[in-house]
Amino acid sequence: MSERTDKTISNLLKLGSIIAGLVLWHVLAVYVVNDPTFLVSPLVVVHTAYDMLFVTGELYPHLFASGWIFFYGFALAILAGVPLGFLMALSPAVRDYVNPWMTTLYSTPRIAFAPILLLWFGIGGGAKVAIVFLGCLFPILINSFYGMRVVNRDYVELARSFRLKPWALFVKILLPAAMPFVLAGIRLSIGRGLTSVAIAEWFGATEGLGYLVFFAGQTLNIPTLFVGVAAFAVLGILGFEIIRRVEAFVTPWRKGSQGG
Amino acid sequence: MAGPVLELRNLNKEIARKDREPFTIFKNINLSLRDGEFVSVVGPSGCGKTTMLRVINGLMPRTSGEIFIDGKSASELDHELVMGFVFQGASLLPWRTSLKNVLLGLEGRGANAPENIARKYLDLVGLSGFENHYPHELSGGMQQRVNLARALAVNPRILLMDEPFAALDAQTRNFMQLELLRIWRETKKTVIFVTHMIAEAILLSDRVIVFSHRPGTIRSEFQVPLERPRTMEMRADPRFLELENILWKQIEAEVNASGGFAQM
Repeated sequence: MSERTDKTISNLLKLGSIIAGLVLWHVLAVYVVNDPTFLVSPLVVVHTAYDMLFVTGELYPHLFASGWIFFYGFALAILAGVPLGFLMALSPAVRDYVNPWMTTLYSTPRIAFAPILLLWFGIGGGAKVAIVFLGCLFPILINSFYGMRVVNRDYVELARSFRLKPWALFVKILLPAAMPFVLAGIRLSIGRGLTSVAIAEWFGATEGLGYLVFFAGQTLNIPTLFVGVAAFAVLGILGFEIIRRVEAFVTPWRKGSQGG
Repeated sequence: MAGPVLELRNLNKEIARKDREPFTIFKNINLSLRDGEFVSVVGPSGCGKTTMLRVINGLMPRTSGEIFIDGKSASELDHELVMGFVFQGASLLPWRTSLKNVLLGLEGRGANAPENIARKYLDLVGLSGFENHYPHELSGGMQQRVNLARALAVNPRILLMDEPFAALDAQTRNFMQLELLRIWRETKKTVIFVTHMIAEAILLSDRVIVFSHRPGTIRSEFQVPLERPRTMEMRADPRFLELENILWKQIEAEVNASGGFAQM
């Protein structure tokens, strides 16, 4: 009973926090700032969003353009980052080869790569996908590497005691042990990937949420700007929620030990 | 009469050290166990008794000496599951349910109806009904039951147990000791049981081996003069108390020889 009450209270607090934030925003916009080229009420933003979604429908092309770029870059980063991270953990040679590149590329601001990638891949989708790929790659790569490196030695010993073959050791012990880390990396990369979408679309794009926000900012169209930002936020929350469900499905043993 | 199930001949374990002579963990271990015998190994902390179990199971290489199982060299048998190891800590895989943990040693070994075997052993350790529980949903005592079932499920010739009850509270430990006696009676396994608890060693064993302090050697061994089946009441038996006293004096002497309790 008390557990359920706790959950209700927790949900009420979350809801209250959101409502309080929106009310504060409204008050600031209407009574304090009172300048629609600087800040508008959330009500105006909702109205604009409604128009862009259901009246003019002009949000969809931007949403889809950004969605695809994000999806391709993100998926490629998973396909490349997870196996490479595992290889680095399992082979000292691969580790030595990749490590200097990983450290250098990871610590360089991604935005610095954007112009050169655009130069190489052109204004089309390729460059944008490459920017998103670079943004998503490192959290996934580093977490996959780390997750497989820190597998409890006791489990490896257990595998030896049961005379598991190398492949069985990998599939039955190393992979499930590393899985929570891999998923955490994937979850982290959602935020970085969306940031990368915005960066990519600021450079010579003609559509996409990043372009929308950039263009609205240039033309002081504050309501549209907020709609673009909100669309990014919704995509981020959606991505998080999807990964959370994947986690619950792939690592069901962590259900009890995981906070919400 | 059949030969020993397990025989250790002049078993030695050293660990190489940089720029120094190798460090000897244990040396000249000669030991043989007959079929169905329960032998405990006691000794001061750090005497190498756990390392010996790990060397026997092939988790660490030996430096010299021979290990025979039913007269065959352990190196020849390396790919077969002739030994079951019950680890001290929580060695259950957290991502596997009880049933799947017990299945670990059975998978990919061509066992007939492995799931039925796993269920049978979970039942033997008193955990039927908990097949689909994850380790974190089980108490410490129940986890060690799964651990035991997992080691037994592959039907090993020898069961190696490394202080399996050390992390349990006293009450659960006593109960698990009785459970182990029952399971041992039903499976008739040959067991080497490493413990630092003298009373536990006496209660469970046919024979108790005392290890010296580092480097570990066999200092002495005692037959336990108590009939089977064992009961908790036997802990007050004069023969039990006498043996407990002798064993305690020996271990105390070893601890003093190693520099005293302050070193432990």
